[in-house]
Amino acid sequence: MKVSIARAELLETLSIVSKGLSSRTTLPILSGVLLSAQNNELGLNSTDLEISIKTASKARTEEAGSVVVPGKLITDIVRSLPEAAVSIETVQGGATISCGQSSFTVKTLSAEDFPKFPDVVPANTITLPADVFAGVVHQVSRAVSRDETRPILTGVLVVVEEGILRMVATDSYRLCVREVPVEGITGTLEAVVPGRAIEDVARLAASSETVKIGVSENQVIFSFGSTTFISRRIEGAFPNYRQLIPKDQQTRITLGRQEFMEAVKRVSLMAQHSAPLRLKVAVEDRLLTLSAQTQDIGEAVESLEIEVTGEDVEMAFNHAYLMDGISVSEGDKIALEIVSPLKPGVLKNETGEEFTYLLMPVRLG
Amino acid sequence: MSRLCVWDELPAQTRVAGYLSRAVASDAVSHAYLFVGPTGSGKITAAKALACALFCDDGGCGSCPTCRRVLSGFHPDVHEVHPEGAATYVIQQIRDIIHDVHLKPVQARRKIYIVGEAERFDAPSANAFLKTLEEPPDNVVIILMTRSYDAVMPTIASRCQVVRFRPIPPSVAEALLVQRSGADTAQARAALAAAGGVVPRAEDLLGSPGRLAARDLALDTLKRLAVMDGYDILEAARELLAAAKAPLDEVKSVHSDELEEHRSLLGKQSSTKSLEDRQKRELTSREREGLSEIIGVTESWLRDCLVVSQGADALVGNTDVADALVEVAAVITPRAALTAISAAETARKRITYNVSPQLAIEAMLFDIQEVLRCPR
Repeated sequence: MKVSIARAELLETLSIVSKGLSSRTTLPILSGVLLSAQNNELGLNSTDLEISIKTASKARTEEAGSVVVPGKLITDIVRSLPEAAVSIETVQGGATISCGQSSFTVKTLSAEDFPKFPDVVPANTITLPADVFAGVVHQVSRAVSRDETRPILTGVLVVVEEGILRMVATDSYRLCVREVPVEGITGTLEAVVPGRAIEDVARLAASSETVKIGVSENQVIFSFGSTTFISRRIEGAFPNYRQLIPKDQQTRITLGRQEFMEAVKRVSLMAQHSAPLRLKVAVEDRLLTLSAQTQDIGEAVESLEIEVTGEDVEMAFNHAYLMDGISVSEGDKIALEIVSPLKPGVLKNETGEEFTYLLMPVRLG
Repeated sequence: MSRLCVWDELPAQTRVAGYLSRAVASDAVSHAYLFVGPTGSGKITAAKALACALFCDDGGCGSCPTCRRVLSGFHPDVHEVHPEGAATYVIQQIRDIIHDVHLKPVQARRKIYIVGEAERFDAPSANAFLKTLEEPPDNVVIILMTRSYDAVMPTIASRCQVVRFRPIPPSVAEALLVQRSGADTAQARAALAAAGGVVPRAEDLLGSPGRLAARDLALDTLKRLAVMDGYDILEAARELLAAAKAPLDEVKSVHSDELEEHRSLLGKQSSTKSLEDRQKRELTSREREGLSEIIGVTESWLRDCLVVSQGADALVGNTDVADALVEVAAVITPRAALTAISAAETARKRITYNVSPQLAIEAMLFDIQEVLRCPR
């Protein structure tokens, strides 16, 4: 194989595929990137057997062929090179990477041993604007569980139906549902995608216009630009989250998002060792009082003016989870709906139903 | 002609092969199996055959791309794991398995996990595994393997269907070994005698000049044992140990190459601890194997003396040293022979209890010498 390519493009494609490199020592080939050159195109391929990434870039191919090079090493090499054409050539048992006056030789592995890129034909694909996709992922991914004991919760439920994109994530302490109507999408799909994979896709696709999503029996396929990103789906059924969302409310407060966020941040300083953050709503005075107290350390109190309907209530939340919810919501104002001190509270956008962040309360002692 | 070829790889375990292939045919494959059988009885072969049979469209033809991938260990839905800790499974390995269990398979309809040495689960790793082992998703088959049912934690064993593999009978083992290694019957029989009847180990032995030399030295020592004095015996034990360790150099050089390759691919800073741990374990087990071979040769020689003394010449394993056997066999009584064999047995046991190998071998040689000097 002999190929030459602009350094910037090579680095960009390498940084895409490096998300798919495996650090497991049992299969050294998975720490490699498969380079394949043909028809004036350099294809790059990586996999850790859970996700597989394939991308390509224009290049001048002098001799077609393919080889597996150590992924992290070659990324480091290319990053340190000056901006010029980089040429990669296979030699006996290795590959030479040269650029200007510098030249590197690295060991390589046989391309035949590299796991085949999954041959997946999705039933149907749906095209979404990349910024919308990335925005939604950013909002829900905070709520994805990191706990492997309930594997289904380590994923994000992605649903497209009736022209609406919906993503849901929960770690059983909070639940985040985000719905966006997207113009011009037809068809339906539903899959639970590992949280890490969908976050990577959102990050990588940021520079593209659109993201295509397709679902097959075992995999979910994202394509954007010249990149194809395949992730295995998570087994099992996502919990029925709709029944968790309270239908009615006793108290509804609305206040400025920024103010709320800053106040929570300040008061949380006194909510150490996972001490709860108390919220007290006084309807008559139109005041929300936040307070936190840690034994032997001290306490903090702050009051905020609010718009409120309903009854007086006092309840408590975990401050970090509350903070996450406020920070990923959008708009100037935010609404909090409360049924009772022992039922979950719901954060919403002031206007619509598009953003729902359900938060389990903390029992007050 | 039947096309079910993968099961033909298990000529000595027809009962197991029949049981598993029927399970596949009637779609009654359990989610967890515990394969119990001595080393070399075909547990891994059976596990891979089961994987082939489940994945292959022809029920395990052994020659389509899917089957070839399974057999060569490259199939993405067949996972083979062995303990990575110093003596046990580490909990991270189990977590990795659990993580993968809950993802959909890559290519096939199912996922298969082949877990070797199931007796080496410690409490934390076993506890982490229990829930998954008991109720994995529908498309998962977990195959645990062990040499002894009793050594496996009851919590693990009770969650699996137990499949017992019988030890391979000597005649079958001999024929297999002749077919695989191309050695003649006498060599095969001698190698099996030294390797305790384990076919793959005997095959290794025949292929390693260093280990064959150790065997010859052991036989030579036994032949001269009766006329040795105390100092000679100590010297002989030292030489035997050195001979048993000599073949380890081959292993070590393979290891250092492996490590070098790993570093050149992943960079100098990358963690090589798990690889080094694995190599260390392999080295220790090879060393033990070398010692056990020396003791195995001794035992088989003593047994040969016994059978010759009783006139059952056809059963002799070490035919190449028949002349020395006859001499001893002429005078030895069955009881004396058994005493000598039990001395070898004791040495084997002592080594597993971490007695210094040198001491154990010395003691064994002294005991046997005593028997040989007054064989009545």
